[in-house]
Amino acid sequence: MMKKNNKVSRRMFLKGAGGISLAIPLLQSLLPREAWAQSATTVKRYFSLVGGYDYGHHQNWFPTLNQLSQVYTPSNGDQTIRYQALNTFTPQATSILSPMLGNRLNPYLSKMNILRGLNLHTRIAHGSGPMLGNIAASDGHDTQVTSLKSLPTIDQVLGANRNFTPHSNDPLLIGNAYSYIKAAGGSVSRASGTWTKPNQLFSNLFTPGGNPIPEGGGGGATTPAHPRRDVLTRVMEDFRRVRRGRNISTVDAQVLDNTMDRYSDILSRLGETVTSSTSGCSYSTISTTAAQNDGVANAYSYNPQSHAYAFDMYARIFAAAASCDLRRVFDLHLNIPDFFDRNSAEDFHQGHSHQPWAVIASNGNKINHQYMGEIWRLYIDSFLSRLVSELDSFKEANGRSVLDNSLVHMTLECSTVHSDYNKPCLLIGSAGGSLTTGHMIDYSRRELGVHPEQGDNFENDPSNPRFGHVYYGAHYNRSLTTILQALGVSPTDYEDPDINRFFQGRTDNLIGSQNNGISRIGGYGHIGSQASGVWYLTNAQLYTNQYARYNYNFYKNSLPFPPSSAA
Amino acid sequence: MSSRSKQIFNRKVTAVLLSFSLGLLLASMNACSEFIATDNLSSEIDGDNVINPSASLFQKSQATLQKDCNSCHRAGGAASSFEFTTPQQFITAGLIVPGRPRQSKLIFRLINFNDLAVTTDNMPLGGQAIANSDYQAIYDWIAEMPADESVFECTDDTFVPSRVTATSAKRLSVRQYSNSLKDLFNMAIARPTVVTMVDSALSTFELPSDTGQTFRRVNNVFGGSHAQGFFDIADRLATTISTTHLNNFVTAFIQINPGTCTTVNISNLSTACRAQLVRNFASRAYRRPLRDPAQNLSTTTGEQIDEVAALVSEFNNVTTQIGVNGLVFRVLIAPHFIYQLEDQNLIQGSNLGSNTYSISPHAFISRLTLSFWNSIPDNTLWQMVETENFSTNTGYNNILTYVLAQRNKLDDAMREYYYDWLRLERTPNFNANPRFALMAPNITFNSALRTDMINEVEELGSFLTTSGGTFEDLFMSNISMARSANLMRVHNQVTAAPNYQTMTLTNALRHPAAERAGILTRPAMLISGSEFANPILRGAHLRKDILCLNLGAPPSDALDTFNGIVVPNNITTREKVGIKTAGSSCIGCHNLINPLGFAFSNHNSLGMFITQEPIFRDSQNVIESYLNVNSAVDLSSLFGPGAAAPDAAGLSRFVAQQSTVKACFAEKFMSYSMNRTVSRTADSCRLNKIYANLNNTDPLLDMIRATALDMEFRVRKIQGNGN
Repeated sequence: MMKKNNKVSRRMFLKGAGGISLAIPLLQSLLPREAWAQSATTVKRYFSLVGGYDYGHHQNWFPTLNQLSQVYTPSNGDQTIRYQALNTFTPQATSILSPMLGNRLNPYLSKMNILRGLNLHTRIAHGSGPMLGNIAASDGHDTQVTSLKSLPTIDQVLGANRNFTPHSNDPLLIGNAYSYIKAAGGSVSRASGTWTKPNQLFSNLFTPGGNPIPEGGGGGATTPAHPRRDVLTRVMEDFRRVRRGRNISTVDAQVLDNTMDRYSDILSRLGETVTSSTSGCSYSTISTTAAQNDGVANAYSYNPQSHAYAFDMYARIFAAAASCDLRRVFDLHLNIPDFFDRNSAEDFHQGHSHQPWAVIASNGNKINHQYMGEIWRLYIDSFLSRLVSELDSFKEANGRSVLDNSLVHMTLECSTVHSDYNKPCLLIGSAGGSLTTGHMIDYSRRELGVHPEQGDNFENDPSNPRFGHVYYGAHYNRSLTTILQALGVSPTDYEDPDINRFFQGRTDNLIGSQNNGISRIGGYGHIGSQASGVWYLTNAQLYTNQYARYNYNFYKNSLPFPPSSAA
Repeated sequence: MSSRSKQIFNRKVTAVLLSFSLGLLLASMNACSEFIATDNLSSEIDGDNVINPSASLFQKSQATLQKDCNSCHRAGGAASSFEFTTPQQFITAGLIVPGRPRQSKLIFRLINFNDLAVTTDNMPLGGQAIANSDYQAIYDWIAEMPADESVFECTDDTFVPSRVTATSAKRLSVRQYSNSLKDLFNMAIARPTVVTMVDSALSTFELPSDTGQTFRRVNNVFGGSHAQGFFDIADRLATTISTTHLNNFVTAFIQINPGTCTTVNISNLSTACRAQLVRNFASRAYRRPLRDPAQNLSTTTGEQIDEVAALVSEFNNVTTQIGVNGLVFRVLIAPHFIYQLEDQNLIQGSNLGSNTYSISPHAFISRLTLSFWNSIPDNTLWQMVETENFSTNTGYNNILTYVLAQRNKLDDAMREYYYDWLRLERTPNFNANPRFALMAPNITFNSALRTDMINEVEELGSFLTTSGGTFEDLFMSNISMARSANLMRVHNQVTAAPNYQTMTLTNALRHPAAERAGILTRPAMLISGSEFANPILRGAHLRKDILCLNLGAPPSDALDTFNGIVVPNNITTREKVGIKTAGSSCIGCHNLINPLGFAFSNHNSLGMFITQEPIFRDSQNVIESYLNVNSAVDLSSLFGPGAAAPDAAGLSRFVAQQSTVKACFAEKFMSYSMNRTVSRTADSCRLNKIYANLNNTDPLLDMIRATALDMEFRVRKIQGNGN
């Protein structure tokens, strides 16, 4: 949920704006939203860490599978959420947040959110596009999904948005490219131009043509404000004048307040002219002397130490590039199935990932899902925790750190084998105060019961220890919409009116009476297949069980977030 | 226990037992019952359960209802409750017809009535009639009431400021917004170009539909999608106007009133020309003159507002093109454009009491045109505001006469009214069905035909309203609106109807009177989407939306019950439905629905007039036989003894004469024209004025006049202080 803080009434603000100086510090969080939006000078950035496969199921990755302690019900009718401060899961500084996330992120728990209960409504199994929003780029388990219109992934939406980034070469892409780009003609294809060697990337960024770019000096480029920002600001003043009118009744005032809030949301997304974004460009502390070629290897054996070093270096490069404002969109996408096989006879895909409960004797009798969790933790420890600490060390002109003004996003292809339920979503940073932070947030709707999972059905096998962990929740794509909106992208820049028509304007209760009459679904990405014909969608019961339990009136909205950040 | 106590006890026991034994029937009656319980009348009933003999007939009637009906008809009881304390409330609820006890439901549903023609005289449930003396008191009370066509309780129809309903700033509906944009820019740019430009922007940047109310325009939601939509559309139009139509825009809007702008130099607009451009354009958009900076009364802080100067600032240090771009954008998302906000349109010092103020003539024309054109005032109205005399009714009358004479503009609002009132959005689509070809081989059943059918009803309603038609004409007119080949075939019509916006009542093409009588008999109101007509839906639609009578939701197992009853194939649809709804758990409500639907048996599921109904062979697309249909209906269960109709035309005529129907229509029309929900009590006097025009002699235009010339249409109440 976009942060809505109206602790000071609009009336107090309006009167106070008449020139009375307050003797207390002016906290942004105490201002009405339109005032806050005008006061911020924020460069926002997006970092994605995406992995293929599942790296263990959600027991490995969520801090808890229990019901969370706090409850929040948004006033707009959106679903109720449960949440709990992340620091309650780490009683000691060295306590691990989860087997996969470890404890190196603990200093940043107040700036993080872990989201649970995000489900896709389609059968993906494997795919290179769904993690960042292009479900059409999947492996064909659902042939109708693969025939859907391809969409640019959210990193490419951001990279193409000149209100978000002035750099035409965004995003900076490392690894396997779970990224889909829209060409000028409208066609969508998998992005190319990924980097696989950290030292080569370092040289390209910081010493182009052999000439080191200057360090220090505040480093940020100038980003022009949206051309309508100034005039919309004046319109807001028009509204305020009307609002102060003698002939405005109480109900008029309510109507105008609501309208001003809505325009404030737009105003906050239009950005401001930015002339200095960081505390200075800094990259020379990055060592380029060791293990530089071990970026994304494809051998059967590896040196964990040098491997970790390479990814630590990627993290430093990302942060340094942000400090110098060379890019604003960064992707590290990893598909490394055979890299962690113990020998050539192993098959990561079928041998490890698809047998999460198997015990592999050749691997020290480890249970596969635990082993895969350890693998992903390598990237948490070497890359993600380094990136977060580096970003938090750079300060912006508005007093926040680069991390505060950014969103670092981690997700995986699946939560467990082929499962599109409880899709992982870790967000670090608040996108300049757009999101509250510090919580595990659960969108599961337990009151509706266990979700009839499709595909390999691990979660609904009563004999399976994971039984009952998947519930109806929120659509996964809403996490992507949340990211786009938090980063200030206008819905008109990512919504596609050609898609989701199957779900619009229904009157037949097919997808639930609560979804009748929605004239515009909006939001980012496909809800799911749009017609019958797919094996599981031909079953009317699945319509009833699956689509009909979700409320798509809010599909276009940001996910609800807790009303305030955790301490 | 005394004998009287025993009597009361026995009565209570009987009621309890009846409640159990007739539980199913009671449950169904609860959803659709017309009987309503009385208020607490214990003062008229002594401790021995005897009604005070000196009480008035009305009080005696109330006491009887409490004594004999209150076990079910009370708040929280098995049947619908009421708290009626005045005779008028009984009239408004449709329970009594003043002066006509035999037509009053409160009489003819009682067992005492004992008229063999009436089959539903079964109250109180359980078979024990009320005391004849009590029955006679109710009968006499109704009989002695003067017959009165005023169905809403209005004790004083003079203007009372305290009675005015306060309303909030009202967002333009999507339709009003679209029309206003077109009419605004049409002051400078050719209409076809403007229509394309605006429609393109609205289709690219979709505004949320106005839904959730009977009348879409009543919706006042303003969400994030509205803000984004208004922003994007303003952005698009401002850019298009300033790049493609700059010269026309600037020249035309200055020309409306050049003031001191003597020479228009587009590339270097003078200060005077900028001011006139701003003044003329923004005032037309805001539907009022821009604020005079000399007035020091505008805000609570006493600040002086110079709206012209504020908007002229968009031209500071930029080219005319950029200035126009900023001006158009700023005006199109301004509060006074997107909201009907009359804060600056009140006549200062005109407080009539209860914080009710007279609105200015500009606000009056704005209200008029938004209500009855779905758009902004045109330049003629702006001129009339300057020349008409508003110290008497003359000015208002002349303005209204002009507004009502602009038939094309009035048509837009009237079509919307009939679409919403008649719930035409529910007109089903035609699914692919091979049996359609057997029923009507020359007709293509597709979405275009559905649209034609909807248009036909909209056009008929609008034509009759704008061309001198009466309320009865709405239900009786056989004028044809069919112009497309497909719809003409549905009507078995050879010649296309002329354009309804140019036709008159005398030169119109007409259907045979027995086949089409008013709006109820038009295909859009009759089609089911399948090969089988649906008399239940037809009846329910008529009952709920035309008669404004209650109809609860059917029991959850109603459909299963209905489908589970096997009926012979070789009988008519009417007969099949009659059998399937004859069960004790169904008939209570279906007695109030089926007759209304059966009256349309001469119209098949495709809306065509028929005398014989095809019977399809089971599971085959073959017509096995044809059966004669019967559309004669007994309406006594709804309208009293003797009420009947020989066919759909007869039903339509009967419906048009019912006070409940006119009352329903008055309520709907007032809600639509006032952009708000209407209260039968708070708005009773205004409703009566509308009601008085609903007959077979007064043109419907008089009803609009009555709505617009009411004093409440010229005032605004400010409730509370927003600051």
